[in-house]
Amino acid sequence: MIKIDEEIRKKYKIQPPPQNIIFEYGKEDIEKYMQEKGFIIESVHSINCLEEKIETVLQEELDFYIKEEACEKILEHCHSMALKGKEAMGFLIGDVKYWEGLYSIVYDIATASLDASPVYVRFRREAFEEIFDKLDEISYEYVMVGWYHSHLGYSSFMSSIDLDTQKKYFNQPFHAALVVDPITREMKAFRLIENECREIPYAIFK
Amino acid sequence: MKITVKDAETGNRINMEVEEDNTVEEIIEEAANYWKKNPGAYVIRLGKKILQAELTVEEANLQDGDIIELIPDPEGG
Repeated sequence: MIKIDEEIRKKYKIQPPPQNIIFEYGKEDIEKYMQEKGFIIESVHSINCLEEKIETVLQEELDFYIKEEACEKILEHCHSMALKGKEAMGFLIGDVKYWEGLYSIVYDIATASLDASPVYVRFRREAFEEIFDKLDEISYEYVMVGWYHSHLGYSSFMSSIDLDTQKKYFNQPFHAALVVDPITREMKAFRLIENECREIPYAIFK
Repeated sequence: MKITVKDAETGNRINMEVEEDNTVEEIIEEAANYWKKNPGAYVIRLGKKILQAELTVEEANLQDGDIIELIPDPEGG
């Protein structure tokens, strides 16, 4: 017989959001940022994606922060996979904190070998142990604050399959999805708010 | 014995008592029901290994105080 003794809920640290912001989506141009970092692709074959595009509106409030090193890893991964004509994907690893409301921070990523095509991506089953290795290196009480993946030239948006993943796994108010398109030079963030998918602003910090 | 199930998506944990003949599947069902998740949608890890759902606590070599973690298995398109 299985008996649940207690649930220990994650305690959110009360702390102001990161101050050393180097990029803020909505106020600055992400294409320029990606170009400066060298993570764009000049020209490739166009890919016809038949995935249904979920329409979203941009929320005003900023409550999603990405550490610069993590952002570079995401852009580098999406760029290198795009050069092979494949989508990239990984987990956003970080923490959830409180300051006039909940906000989430991405400190790092965890990814592994992928079953990927130009229009689809998931982890190889046998690759999860690579992710476990990465998680074991983390010294704080991490939270998977979301996931990232790339699109190859059909722009940054949430498709119906992306939305299914968001609803199944990342449905808390602090969870986010980052969608990077190195070809159209976009990186957008999305979140489920009252079960509706919204685009959200994000900030990259040092 | 007492083990802990961690939800990687939230950082929340459940402490539970299990017996040697309980299966990993039963443990995950219990935790997933508590958290209102789909138990079949997750990869279960114990340290660096994936735990097979059909194994019993004894077969999986689960020890008192072990932490098993629910890891999402996302798909993008």
